[in-house]
Amino acid sequence: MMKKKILVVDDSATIRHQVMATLNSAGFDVVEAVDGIAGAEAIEQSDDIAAVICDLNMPRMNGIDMVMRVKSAPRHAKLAMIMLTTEGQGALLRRAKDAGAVGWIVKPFNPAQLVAVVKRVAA
Amino acid sequence: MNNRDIIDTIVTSCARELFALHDTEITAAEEVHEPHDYVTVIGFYGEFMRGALGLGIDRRIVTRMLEQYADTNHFPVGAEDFVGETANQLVGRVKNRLLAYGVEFGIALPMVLRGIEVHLAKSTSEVWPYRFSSTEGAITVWFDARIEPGVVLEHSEGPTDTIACEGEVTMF
Repeated sequence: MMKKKILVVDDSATIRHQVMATLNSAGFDVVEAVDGIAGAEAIEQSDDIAAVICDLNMPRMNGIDMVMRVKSAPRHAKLAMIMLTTEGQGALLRRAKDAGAVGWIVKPFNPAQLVAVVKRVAA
Repeated sequence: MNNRDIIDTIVTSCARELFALHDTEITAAEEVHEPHDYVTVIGFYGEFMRGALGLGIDRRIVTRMLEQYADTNHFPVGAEDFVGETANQLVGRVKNRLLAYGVEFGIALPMVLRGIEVHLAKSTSEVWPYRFSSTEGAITVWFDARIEPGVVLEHSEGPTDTIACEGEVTMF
């Protein structure tokens, strides 16, 4: 059975590494991108990404703008995108929800929770 | 409590909580152990408060914190990136606490300083240092905030705009 592919978008190699290690051990295939533009391009060039884990504050393009860009394409309208950030401000959560994100996790993440969320949204 | 007392409490508790998550117990220290091997600074900007948070940390602490990821080798986590992300999570925690005082600010990207030695000035009323020690070495956090004149931090008794706290998952 094909492993589901998850894209992690974060400018921190530390976070990409932690997410990758966590999801790989749970049976997911994980690819990475270093900022919002690279993340959007990775999604636009692929048809097999099952879910996206995305930072908020990144160079070139932030996470919410990336979600908006991706969601503007009909073929990605149902792609599950989850924010993973240090921020917990309600206004930002509402902006992310309005942009089309399906969830919000405040760093540092709990590995078991991350796996549970990804399994749920990538089903 | 005045503004300084509130910031002192928030920064100190946030630093302790964050390092505890990496199994690193830190305690307040009086001694100065500078310069640190790694120094990172993150700017923040808001209507009532702007400035920067700095984090200086000794190599042995970082090495120990990184050991927990040593069992995976997809790609090596660089110490500088790790310190930058740690500072990012620290300023995020401080921001989330300050939301309860009606202060909100945006957070810039972490900047790791290389090739220089940083020593905090011994006396200044504007840069507030917080020194910690652990069994592996020393940590210094400093909060360099420009608070708008007349702004008094007061804890809101009503609902705040902090919806999600560290480690929490919110599904829409």
